[in-house]
Amino acid sequence: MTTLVNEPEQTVDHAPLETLRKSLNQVLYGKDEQIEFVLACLLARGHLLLDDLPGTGKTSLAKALAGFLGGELARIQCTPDLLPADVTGFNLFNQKTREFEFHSGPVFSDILLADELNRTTPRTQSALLEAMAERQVTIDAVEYQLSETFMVIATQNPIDSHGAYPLPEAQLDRFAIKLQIGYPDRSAQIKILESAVGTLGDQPSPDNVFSKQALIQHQRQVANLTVHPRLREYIVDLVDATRNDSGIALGVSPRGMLHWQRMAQAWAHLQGRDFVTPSDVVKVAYPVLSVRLQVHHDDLNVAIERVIQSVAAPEYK
Amino acid sequence: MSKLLLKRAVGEAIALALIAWFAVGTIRYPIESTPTFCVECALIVIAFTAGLRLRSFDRHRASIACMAFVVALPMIMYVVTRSMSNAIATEMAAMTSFGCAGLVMSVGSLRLRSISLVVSGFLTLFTVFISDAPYALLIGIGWITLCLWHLIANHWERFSTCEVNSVQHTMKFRPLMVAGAVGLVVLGTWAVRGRLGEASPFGFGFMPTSGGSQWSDPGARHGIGSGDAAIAAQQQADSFGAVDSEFFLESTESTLFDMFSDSVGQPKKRNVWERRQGMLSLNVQEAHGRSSKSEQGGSSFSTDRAPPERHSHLDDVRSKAAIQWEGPTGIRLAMNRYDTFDGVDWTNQAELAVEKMLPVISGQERQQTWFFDPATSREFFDGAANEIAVGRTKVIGLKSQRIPLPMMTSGVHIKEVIRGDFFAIDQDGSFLMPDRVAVPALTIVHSASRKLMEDELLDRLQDNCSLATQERWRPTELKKLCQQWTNETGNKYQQLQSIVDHLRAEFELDSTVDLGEGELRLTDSQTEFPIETFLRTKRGGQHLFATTAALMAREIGLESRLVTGFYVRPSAFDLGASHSNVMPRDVHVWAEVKLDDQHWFEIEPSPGYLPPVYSPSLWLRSKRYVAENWPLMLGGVLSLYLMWRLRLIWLEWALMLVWWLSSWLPAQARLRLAVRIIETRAWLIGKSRPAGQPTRDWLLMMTGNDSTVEQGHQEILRSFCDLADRICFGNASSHHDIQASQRQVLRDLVRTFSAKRLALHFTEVTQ
Repeated sequence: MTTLVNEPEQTVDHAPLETLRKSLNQVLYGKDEQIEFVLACLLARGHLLLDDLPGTGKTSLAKALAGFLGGELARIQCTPDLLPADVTGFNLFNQKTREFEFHSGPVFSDILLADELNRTTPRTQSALLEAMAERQVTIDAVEYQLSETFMVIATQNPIDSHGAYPLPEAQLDRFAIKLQIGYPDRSAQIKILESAVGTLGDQPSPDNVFSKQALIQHQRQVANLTVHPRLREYIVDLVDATRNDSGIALGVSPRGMLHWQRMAQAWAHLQGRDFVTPSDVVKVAYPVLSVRLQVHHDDLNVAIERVIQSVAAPEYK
Repeated sequence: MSKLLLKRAVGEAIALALIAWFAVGTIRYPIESTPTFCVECALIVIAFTAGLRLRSFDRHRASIACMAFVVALPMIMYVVTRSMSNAIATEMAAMTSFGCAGLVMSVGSLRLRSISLVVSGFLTLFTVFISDAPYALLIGIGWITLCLWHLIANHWERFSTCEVNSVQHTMKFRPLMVAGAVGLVVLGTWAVRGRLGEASPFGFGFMPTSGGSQWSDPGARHGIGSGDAAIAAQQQADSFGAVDSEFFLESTESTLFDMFSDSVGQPKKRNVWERRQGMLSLNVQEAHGRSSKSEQGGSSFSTDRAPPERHSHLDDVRSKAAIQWEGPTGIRLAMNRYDTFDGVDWTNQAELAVEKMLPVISGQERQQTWFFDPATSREFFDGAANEIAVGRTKVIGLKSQRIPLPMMTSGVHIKEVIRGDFFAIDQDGSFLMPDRVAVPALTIVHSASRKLMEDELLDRLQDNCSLATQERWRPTELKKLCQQWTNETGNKYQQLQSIVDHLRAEFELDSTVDLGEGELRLTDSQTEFPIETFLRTKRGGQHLFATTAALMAREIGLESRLVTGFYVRPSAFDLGASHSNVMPRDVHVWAEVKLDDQHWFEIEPSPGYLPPVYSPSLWLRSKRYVAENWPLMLGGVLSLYLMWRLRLIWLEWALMLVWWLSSWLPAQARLRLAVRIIETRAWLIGKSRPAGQPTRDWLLMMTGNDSTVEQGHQEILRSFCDLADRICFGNASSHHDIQASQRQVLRDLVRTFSAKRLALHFTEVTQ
């Protein structure tokens, strides 16, 4: 049996991760699974696309996450008049020093919340491309490295299609997962109302419960997680199935395949395991595939279900 | 000098040719008549000397005539002695003639002399090789010595004189060279001594070969057998072994036929030399050429065979067969039928004659005109007879108006015959060609007959013996026997079958029984009819069997008649010609019984003849099978049903047994087995795991997310899944072996989740 061990095993403390999970659950009631996915995306060093109706807690989640991580949160409200320089930053000539000074944009943060990403022009959207893929930006031929834990949380509103610029496939593929938070269930909503009594609505800046150093450690640990060769074959088979499915217009790219494996690793890590199981692969399949599969007529979830069912899962042997 | 040299060279060439001639003579002398041989030799010497002498007198034409006579003389002697008792073998004459040609050429030009050397050399060496005389080798060595002397003297030395400096001329040089060369030859001969096999004289000429070949008998190559076998073998071309001759011929030809060769073709000839024995010409028989024998002792069987010889139908004229039958064998071809018996003679009183046959045109191009019996033809066209057999009768040596045809024949056809008056049906119901002395030889008559199923016999054999009631003569012994044989069986057909079976089993067919006694007594007051004698002695000819069977059929109320005709022996089938030769000795007598629809079917009471085949339909066969095996089948069906109903129980036991027996397996194999057992159980209750669903998800789905299922079960499943995941997909260094507690996990899983429990869980989950 071959294993993926790039570095010697490090023992990582899972307690802060548990605290983070609990803290997020306090922010977003009754959305345990979504929070797991968000955490997995974080640990997988992926970018997150939230696709949901207004007021379901997208921004709250992003803000809370940035707060708990103790990192810097930057937020851009994507409007049609937003320019690329507004995102990345620009050089300004300082009359005093007679030199150009670099004014960093919002991408120079730990968490970048891009609200309603599909409302800005493709030009601005594409400015995010390099930042998301390579974690660096190039301004006036100078490369600037972004934060090591840089993560984009973009939201988009599926309802208002008027005046929207749908995200190009190239950009969609750079997101690790797409999530729909959805309305909370009845008990959660009651709890939300209950917790709102007595507060002014201005949510205080949350405490830092998860250090940046710990995050980097966890991310490294995730990258080192064992993936059995049979599981790699399984993922490849699934990817092939998406490409060969007649109901799917655009299958998974190799980059998407890498995201999938990394997400499965992150999921396994969240479960406290140091290896990936077929269940992990299947579990993360929905958010991973829904961001990058283009279907003809079908419902996306139906297509994903069909793809998964069409490939025999590795058995215990 | 040159003249002397020439003379010497000619003398040497003549001497060499004479040695060759002498060598042939040493073979001929012991086996030929001495006077003839001496006359031949003398004549040759005289003619040759005369030729030389005439040439010296420049009488060239006469000289050439003499020389030609010398060459021709051995062949002349051969022809002359052929008419006498002691013939010269052709080969020997030819060899002598060849030698004489060498002798004659030796006195010719230089070129002819060279050819003469080659001829005499070849002849000497060949003769020495085939001769079995001990001194034959000396002749060869002598010839070689002289030849070397001759060549060196006349050719090589002349070369050497051209190069004076390189060759020293001494008187000893030439003899030394020759002696050295001869020494080499002797040494070489000595070195190969005994390698050529021994040979001893054979007292006669060349004979046809006998003996097996490599593919007919392994013994053939070695020669085995002695004593009586050897004496017997003397006469047989297909024998092998030490017969009185020990003369062997080497050949690649396969001399003998075997049974397989007749049917599947002779083995292709292989270029393998095999040793066969010569055989005395007295023992050669014509039959040896085609003697059939089986290859019982064969060590090989070749699949590479030449196609069997095609049968030439032109040869049928010379066939000794009465008729040739192309169709199934083991059947009877009827010619005459008789329905009335007075105790001794059968006569026909029925009036079944049909003069006007019903013409029917058929064939793909509507070229065949068939003539049908109007009474029975309808079923051929309305589909009642689904199986029709077409046979062909070729009349060869049968001098009769009547055409031998199988039973239930309704129609006949002769190629290109369209006139209806060619055929008719006689009073007794047999086909014939009216207004003719006999059916012309080589006429091919096609016949269409219905095949009869056993079902019809069972259904349609009824008590219809109107004729039988009129029968006057029926011995009491016959009645008694008939009652005895048919007592226990109910159905008419079964009764008839019982009679036939008893006759075939208890009576002996013996055509040589002298019934003279019975005939004599016919004139007495105390007569004993042939049938009575037959019933008493339980032996007799086939006519008695047939008569008894016919009479007994009447006894049980069936209308019957006696039939005479031919029996087509299965052994008479000629594979190459694809027909059976029915010989005059194949005449046969049997009986026919009437069905309720005017058809007659035959029975075969004589032992030794194949009974007619009435195959049962599938329905009848099934009924019989069920009747015979119903308890077993019922039991089988019941037990299958029970097995199906109780499958959960006994399969569960079987799975547990497998689990119990597998305790010695290594950890991972046992884990795999545990999963397989759970999956098999799920399959049994119709809840197989979908291929796309990981096993973990599937197992956990059984217990559901809510806690309606017992907590313990969920625990067991979770710990099992964790364990299995770790072992199957985990880091190799992170698991070593399943610990005892983990073995417990597997055991719990297999024991807890029985098929029943699984079913329960699934129901709960779906609810």
